[in-house]
Amino acid sequence: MDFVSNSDFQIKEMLKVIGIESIEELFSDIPESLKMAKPKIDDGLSEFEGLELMKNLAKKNSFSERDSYLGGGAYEHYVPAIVPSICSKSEFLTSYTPYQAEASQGMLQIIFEYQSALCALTGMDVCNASLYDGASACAEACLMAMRLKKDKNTLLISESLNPLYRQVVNQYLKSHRVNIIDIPFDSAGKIATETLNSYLLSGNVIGFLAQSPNFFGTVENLKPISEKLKENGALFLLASNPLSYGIFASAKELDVDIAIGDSQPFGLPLAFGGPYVGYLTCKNEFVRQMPGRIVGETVDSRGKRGFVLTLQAREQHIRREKATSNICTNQALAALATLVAIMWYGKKGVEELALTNYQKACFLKENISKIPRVTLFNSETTFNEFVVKFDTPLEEILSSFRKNGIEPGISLSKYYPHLENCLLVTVTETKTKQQLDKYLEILQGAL
Amino acid sequence: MKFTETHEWIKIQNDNIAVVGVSNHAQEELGEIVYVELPQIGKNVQAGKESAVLESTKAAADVYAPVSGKIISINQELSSSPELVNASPEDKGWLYTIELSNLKELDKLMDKDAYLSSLK
Repeated sequence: MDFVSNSDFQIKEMLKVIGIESIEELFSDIPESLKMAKPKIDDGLSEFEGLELMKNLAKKNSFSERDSYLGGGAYEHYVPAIVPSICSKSEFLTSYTPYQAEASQGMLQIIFEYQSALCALTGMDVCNASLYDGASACAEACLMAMRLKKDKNTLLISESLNPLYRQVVNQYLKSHRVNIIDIPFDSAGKIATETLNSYLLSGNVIGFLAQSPNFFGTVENLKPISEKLKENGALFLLASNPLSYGIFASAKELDVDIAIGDSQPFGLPLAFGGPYVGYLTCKNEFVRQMPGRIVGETVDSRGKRGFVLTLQAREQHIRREKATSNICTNQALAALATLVAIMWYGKKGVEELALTNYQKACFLKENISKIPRVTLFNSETTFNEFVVKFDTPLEEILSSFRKNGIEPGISLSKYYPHLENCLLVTVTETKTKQQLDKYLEILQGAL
Repeated sequence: MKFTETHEWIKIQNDNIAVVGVSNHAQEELGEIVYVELPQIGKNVQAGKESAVLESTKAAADVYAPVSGKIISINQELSSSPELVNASPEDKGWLYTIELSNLKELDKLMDKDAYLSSLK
């Protein structure tokens, strides 16, 4: 559709028909005091001058030149060149959500392939077309569980779930009649199963939302937890870094009912926190309560393979206030980046990438543990991040690292006040042996 | 058999137990039905309030309870064959049976002739 503005002649003609002199007269009912004066804007800069200005401003950002060991939900991974090269194709980059969906076969196909890739990774039966991010995926999973267990009113959430995800869950559930109970972690940073079990006995539990690897990078022992939940008729909701599925048990093997997370580790740059893409997968029997949309494969009237939006009738634009959720959209472009990265690595590549992340983090963790006056938060299995405890104020350590151009990790006291002087350190495949050695050297000097 | 303005039908089976479904006109308007969400057995419903949902390929429509009462049974066949609502809306495609709490509510409903002429 072209946009052609009205000519002066047309404007005059229209004004004549309605019997006024100027467009401003249309707004004469608005008191002068409420009208905004036309802002004074100078001539601005030329293209060249503008670029220079932006370059100089960008130079003030020192952060990108630092070595970052920050994780906690957003991970620095190498983005294969094929990802931006495919995502920047204008058919994908500039297209809006397909309203006349079936006319956009290419878009539907990439969503279908994305869903298939996430199902393969998690082992789950169905995946939706994607959600905003890991946090909203957790919140939608909770709402979905509440719809599935309408006769119960208590939701258990692990305290080792990413605290930022938890904030979003709280916001989503604020106006719902649901009782949220925190399940603490024990001294090893793992789910306190005795507390969990005692709440399960009430019989009023909708489900349990946990994260593994949890916020501390610790891999939870989920099999017995899953069994206990099933015994008590409660649903198991699990948030996971999808890369961890490369080497750890799939959600299917753990008998998870709804598996969610953020696919950022596959193909998406840190980009100051977004846009990312949330995945939501579940068992087939729960598909009717899944939020958002699903792309399905079918055949057209001539028997040719084609793709359609399925289960769309439950969405907000059709069901209004009775919609399954108010999510009528998905993160198609970010989901495409995830898909391309997963396909590029392939089955074996994903496993190797996960293993490299695991090993590099272990290398740093083990060497840190040899340094006197530093202790590890736990001796459990961790995946690409872990927690280090210091007996000196963390601020001093942070500043020695920063002097050397390193962001050594996330201070946990901000999220868990009782975890003082604890640092969450993330190591991905992007860190070299030299970088890790330098980290150790600075840490030794700082103590 | 009695009908509502919102295209449900109700038929007394015995005493105060009745069968409920949607009219032929309703299924024609909805088109191919792909999923039927039925109420839980034992649930109390109120006349005029949502009691079930019919999903067709392009829309989802609420089915309102023609009378108040308690859900006694549901048509289990619809979970695997929702198309029964299209093929036999006023017989095999029934939705649920209900125990009426107030038989007088039936008097407010239309008979078949009145319902059919209301559609014209």
